[in-house]
Amino acid sequence: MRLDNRVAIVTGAGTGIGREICYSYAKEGADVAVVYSSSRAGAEETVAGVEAMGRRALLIQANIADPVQIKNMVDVTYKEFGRIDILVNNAAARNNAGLLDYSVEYWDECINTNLRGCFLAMQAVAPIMMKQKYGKIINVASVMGYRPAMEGRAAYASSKTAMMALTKSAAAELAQYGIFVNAFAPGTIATPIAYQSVDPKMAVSLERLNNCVPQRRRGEAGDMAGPALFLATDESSYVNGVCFLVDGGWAAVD
Amino acid sequence: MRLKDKVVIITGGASETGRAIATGFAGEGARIVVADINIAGAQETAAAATKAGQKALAVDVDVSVQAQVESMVEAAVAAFGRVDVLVHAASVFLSVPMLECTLEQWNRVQDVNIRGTMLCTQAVCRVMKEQNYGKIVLVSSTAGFRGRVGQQAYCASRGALLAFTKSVGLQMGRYGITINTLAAGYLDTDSCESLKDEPELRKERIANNPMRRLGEPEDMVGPALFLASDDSKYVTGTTLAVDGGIAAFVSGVDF
Repeated sequence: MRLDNRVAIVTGAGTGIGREICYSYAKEGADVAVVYSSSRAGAEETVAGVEAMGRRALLIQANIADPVQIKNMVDVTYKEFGRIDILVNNAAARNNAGLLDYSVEYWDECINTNLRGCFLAMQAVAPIMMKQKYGKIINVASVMGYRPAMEGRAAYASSKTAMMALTKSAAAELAQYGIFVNAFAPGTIATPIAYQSVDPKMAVSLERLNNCVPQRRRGEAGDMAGPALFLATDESSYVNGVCFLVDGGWAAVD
Repeated sequence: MRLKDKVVIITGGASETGRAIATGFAGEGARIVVADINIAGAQETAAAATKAGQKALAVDVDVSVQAQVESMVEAAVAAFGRVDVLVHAASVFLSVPMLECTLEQWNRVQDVNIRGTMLCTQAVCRVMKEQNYGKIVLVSSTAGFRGRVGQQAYCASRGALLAFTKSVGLQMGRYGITINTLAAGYLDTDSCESLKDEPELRKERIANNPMRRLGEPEDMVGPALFLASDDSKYVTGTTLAVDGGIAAFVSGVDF
C-alpha cells in the first residue's frame, strides 16, 4: 500500500473533498485525524468510513482560524498516533458578496479561515515534521487562484491566490528538512459547500458550467482524491512548491 | 496494479527518463511500445520492461516524420489492439548563443520538439477518440517557463508544449482524453542538462534548489504514473513541474 502506517491530518473532513481524501488515504494504509469545525455528523460518518477500512481515525473539532485550536489539533494527533506525516489544508470558507457590499468582518472570516488557517496549521505541524525529517503538506487551492473573476468572489479568490504564494514560500523554507509543500487547485466542483454558497439566481449558470468545462462535466469530490494521494506519497519525490489544476481543463480555455 | 493491461507508447524511450518510465510502468502492468530514433537503445529499454514483467516492443521512429509516427501507432495497435497512454519524451537539446544560432539548428529543434509533439499527439488522439479513452503525458522542461543562456531554441520549443497542452486539452476533453505536461527541472542524467562538464555551475544549481539536489530519472516515474493513471481523471490541460521547487526560489545563479 502506498501510505502504509502513515498518519494524516485532514481539515474540512466532514464533507465533500475532505472526506474523499480521508477515504483514499485510509484505503492506502494511513491513520487519519478527521478535523471539522461545524459538520459534526458528517465528520462522524467520515470516521466510521475510515474505521471500516481497518484504519484508526481521530475525530477533532477545531476552528481553523484560531491558533490555540490549531495547536490543540496537532498536539492531540501527535499524542494519539506518535507522528504526523501528512497535513491536508482543505478547510475553506466560501463566502460570496459584491466588492462594495463586503463588511470587514465578512472579508476577515474568509481570509482568516483560508489563508491564516493554512499558515497556522503549517506552522504548528512543521516542527514535528522537521524532527521526523519527513513531511508532506498539501494545500487545497482553487481554480480561482488562476482565474479569479467571478462575481462576488473577491475574498475567496484572494485567499486562494495567496495560498499558492504561501505554498511556494513554505516549500522554499522547509524543503531542506525533508518537508514537501504543494497545492492543487480544484475547478468547479459539485460539492454541498459549492451549492450552498451559490446565489439561487445563478442556478441556470451552474447547469451551463458543465458545457464550459472541456471534460463536459463539473468535478466530483472523488476526483480530488487521486491528486491528494499523489502529493502525499513518495511518488512525488521531486515535486515541491507547485500548484497544479484539477479542473477538467476549465482554466485552459482562452 | 495501476496500469494493468494498458497499452503505452513511450517516445524517447531510449533516454534515461524514458527507460525509467518504461520499467516503472511495466511494473504496474502496462504493455509498452518503446519508440526512439536510437533503435538499439529502444531495444534495451524494451528488454528492461519485459524483465519488469510485461510484453514490450521496440520501434524505430523519427518523431518529426509523419509517416514514421503513423507507423509507430499502427505497430502499437497491431501488437496490442489499442493505445491507452502516450508518454512523449522524445526531444533534442541545443545550446548555441543567440547571435550564432543558424536557421538549420533552430529548425531541427522545432521540428523534433514541436512538430514531433503535434504528430505523435494527433496520431494517438485518432485512436483514443474511437476508444473514448486516452491519457497523454508530454515531457517538457522548466526551460519552458524561464530563460536559459544559449537555449533560446530549446526554451521556445519547451514553452510551446505548455500552450499546446491547453489547446488540445480543451478539444479532446469530451472524448475521454486527458493531456498534461510534466516540466522537468535539471535532471542528473548523461544529457547536457546535468552540467557534468561544468562543475561550478552544477554546484550552484544544486545550492539554488530548495531540495539541494538535481532530479533523477526515477523522480519522473511517479508524476508520469499519476498522469497516466485514473488517479488524474479530472486533470487535463495543465502542467506539473517536477523540479524540486526551483520556482519557489528567487534565482541565485550567476550566469
